[in-house]
Amino acid sequence: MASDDAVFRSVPAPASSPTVPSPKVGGLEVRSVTKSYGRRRVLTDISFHVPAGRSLAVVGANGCGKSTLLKVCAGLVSPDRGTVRVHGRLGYCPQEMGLDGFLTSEDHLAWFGRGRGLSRRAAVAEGSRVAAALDWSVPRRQQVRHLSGGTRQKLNVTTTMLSDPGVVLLDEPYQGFDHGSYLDFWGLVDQWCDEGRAVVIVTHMLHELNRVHDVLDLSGTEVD
Amino acid sequence: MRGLAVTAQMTLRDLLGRRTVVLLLVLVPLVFYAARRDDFQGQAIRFASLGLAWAVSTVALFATNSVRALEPRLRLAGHSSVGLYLGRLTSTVGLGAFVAALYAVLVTLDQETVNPWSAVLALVASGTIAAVLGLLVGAVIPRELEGMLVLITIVGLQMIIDPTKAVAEALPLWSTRELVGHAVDGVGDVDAAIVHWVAYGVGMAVVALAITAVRLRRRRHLEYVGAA
Repeated sequence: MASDDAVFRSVPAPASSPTVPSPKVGGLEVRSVTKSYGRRRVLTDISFHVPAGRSLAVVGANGCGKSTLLKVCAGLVSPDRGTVRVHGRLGYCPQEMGLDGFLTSEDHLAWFGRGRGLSRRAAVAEGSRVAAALDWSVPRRQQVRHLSGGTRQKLNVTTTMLSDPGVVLLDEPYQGFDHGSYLDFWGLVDQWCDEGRAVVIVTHMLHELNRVHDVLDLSGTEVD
Repeated sequence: MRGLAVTAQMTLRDLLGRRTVVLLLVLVPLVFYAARRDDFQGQAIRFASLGLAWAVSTVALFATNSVRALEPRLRLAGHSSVGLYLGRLTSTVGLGAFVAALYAVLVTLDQETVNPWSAVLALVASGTIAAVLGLLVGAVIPRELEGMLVLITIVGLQMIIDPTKAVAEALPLWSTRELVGHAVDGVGDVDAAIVHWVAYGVGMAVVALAITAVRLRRRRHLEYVGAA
């Protein structure tokens, strides 16, 4: 499924991932994606498929192209070759903060939610549900620049889910999370899969690879 | 055009959330005005207009750059490129016009001019065209420092270059100088200034919109199947 350089493998399904009817029909098909920056090739003929209800961890050494692959999947970077097919809507949570420090968390929820036609009240209510699953209560007036790094990351994840995506792309989304929130996050990933979403996570947390269905190792070395 | 109203609202909230910026936006033109108030007739208006253009264009530049990382995600969330750009345009031009109106009141009360309405028009032209210019520079140049230097050059050139030279008319703030000339000295072509103001305003907005649309375009390698 993946290129010769990358290693793709399936792992036993997470125990907390029962087969339930899927309200979403997510899915991601990546075919023969190649990308270079100048003379430096970072992705070579990468192919994989994440069907509805499955999760994929993308792992590999620093600079091996994990974030670039996710940006290609999100349509933010064009590959030199290859295609990406997306079933459903896309949600993308970047590694660097894609937030406005001078707005409040509620402003972000309202802005993102409006893209789906939600009113401010509905967007805040829906965002608050996702936030609660990460053990976070959305503050009303505090500007984002005054939030801690981990809390900003929770807002990043929350805004990603506001578009109700069928495909969820997360680039090391738990940075700065405390241990409890970190565990909550993996519980959320299970829940998203149960709902029929396809979830792709760039991660360095190799000891959590048993929490995902499949692993794509871009460094070419299979993960234990 | 999904996202226009909420983007305009969020741009204003972002700018008003920067209290020092709001203070400076109002004070910078005042400093320029006060510095030349005792000079010969009209010089204070010219410099208030210059300070206004610098302050508003800088704010518009930062309004563009502060959401550069956010906009691709908003596109994925369902907003249109046109809505995102026009929302930002609406709020920054509105803010520029508002500050210009404050100075129009000040100038009307404090200065004796041959044509007071031309002075008002000059300040409004300065505040609005500077906003469009700042958004265009922000769209073309993604880094703030380089963008600032370009703005300083463009706005400064407009003030120091001989207004009778053809190159002066090619610069975006020419209408402002022409209108100030008409207000203070009774010379200057008001109709040509208004045409220049509208043409440059619309032209720069269209170019910035095109650049924004290209940057936030849906890439060809991406195919959506059954998106809800």
